[in-house]
Amino acid sequence: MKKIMLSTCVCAALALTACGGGTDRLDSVQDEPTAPAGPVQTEDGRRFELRLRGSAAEGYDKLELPIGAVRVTANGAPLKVELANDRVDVARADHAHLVAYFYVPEGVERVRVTFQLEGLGGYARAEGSGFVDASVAPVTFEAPVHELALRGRAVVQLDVARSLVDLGSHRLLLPNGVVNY
Amino acid sequence: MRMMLKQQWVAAACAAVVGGSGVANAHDLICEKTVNGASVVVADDYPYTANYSFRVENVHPTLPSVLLTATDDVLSSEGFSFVPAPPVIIPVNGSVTSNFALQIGSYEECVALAAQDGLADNHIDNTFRVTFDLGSAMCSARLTCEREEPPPVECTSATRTLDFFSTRILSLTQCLALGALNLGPIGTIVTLPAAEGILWGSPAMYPAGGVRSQLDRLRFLLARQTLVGVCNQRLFGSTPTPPSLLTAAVAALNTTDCDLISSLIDPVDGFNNQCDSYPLPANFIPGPATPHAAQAIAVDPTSNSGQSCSP
Repeated sequence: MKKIMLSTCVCAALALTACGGGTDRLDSVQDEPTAPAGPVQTEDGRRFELRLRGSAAEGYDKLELPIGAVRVTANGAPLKVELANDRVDVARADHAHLVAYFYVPEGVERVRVTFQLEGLGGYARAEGSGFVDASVAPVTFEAPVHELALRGRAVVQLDVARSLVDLGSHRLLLPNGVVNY
Repeated sequence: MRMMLKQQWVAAACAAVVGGSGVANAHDLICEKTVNGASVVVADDYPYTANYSFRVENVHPTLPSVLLTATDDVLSSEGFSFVPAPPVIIPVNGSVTSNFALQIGSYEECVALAAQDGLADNHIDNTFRVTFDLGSAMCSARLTCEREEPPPVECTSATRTLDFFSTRILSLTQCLALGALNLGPIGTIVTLPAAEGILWGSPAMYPAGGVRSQLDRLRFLLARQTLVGVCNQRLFGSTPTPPSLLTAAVAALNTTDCDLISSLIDPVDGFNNQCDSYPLPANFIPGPATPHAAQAIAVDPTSNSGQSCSP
């Protein structure tokens, strides 16, 4: 009977993997050796990570984006946030950079994350380099805490090819992408 | 046979477990947003119609995905709601598209909408967000608000630019013959070398050397356009809009208000350019363009005022 149960569970695990297999979403999770298994319990509540990574960044040797601010609220009330980096290079698609930690008290079911890129970034490609206007409206998303708690983080994945608009003198960042938990 | 039965049983159990866990639907959606068919557009003629298109695509290779919500905070307040209303099951290789036409009545209304996206500027960068199980997708497009171009001026008399007067000694001479030119602290221009000096001098450097102060640089830039503007009035009978523009420019030169001085440079330059292709009066002889000769006689009469911008 134990064998049957074991087979069933293995099958379910395999099936679950197959359901998301081959997608960027699961790849992004698996590529992060430093990712916590879940939120870290602290005196200020459970600590979650906000990370940023690029995808479809072929051709970019460097794509540095300035981080302006991160705000996280629950029912309109601000939660504690610690900014971890003020610039990240998202040209490397195999790494999700830590942007901030945010702390969620017990009992909170949903959080609203507002992630503001701000100012000028820079890019480098084989054919030349230039600046990126990242002064655009913030990226905002709402996340159920129980989904965030699965891996303890939210990963904003910028689709670089679709997010950068070539305006001749520079490139404009218009965020396109996905947020995975 | 026994082995085969066992495999079938495991397969059935697997299907039951997977089905019961609710993961038979995947969660791999991306979105695409355009406004009037592009990622970036400029509104410069009002009323302006912005036709937004929102497309949500299932990119999972083998399973349908469920679109749970589809929102755009700025456009929601303008009446947008995604159609078909979520939740929507999107099949493999499938997509759903919703369109919304936003009417913008004026530049001011456009800027007011732009302020709602979380950044007070003249760009509506609203983000379309879709959510699915364990994630969300976002996509952006930019609509830039610009003021309408003023209606073209109907020319009834000619104007000519700084380039015209700086290279035509005869035209500038005729202008000076009609009286001295008062340019406030820059000086009263009476002679041809001084007039050419204003038109050929460096806005960046004093003639005696050294970098002009911000105040003196702005004064110099306004003074040379004002000189040309006065010549356009005198020689061709042209009138700027408002008619007091050149008087206001001279009055501004007498102040140390750099914002005021700076704000008048473009309007005066605009006046000098506005009827540049309109024919000169039939009896007016402009003389040949001789830039080398004109520059050779130019003597910039300005010097360091010792003043600075205030307040």
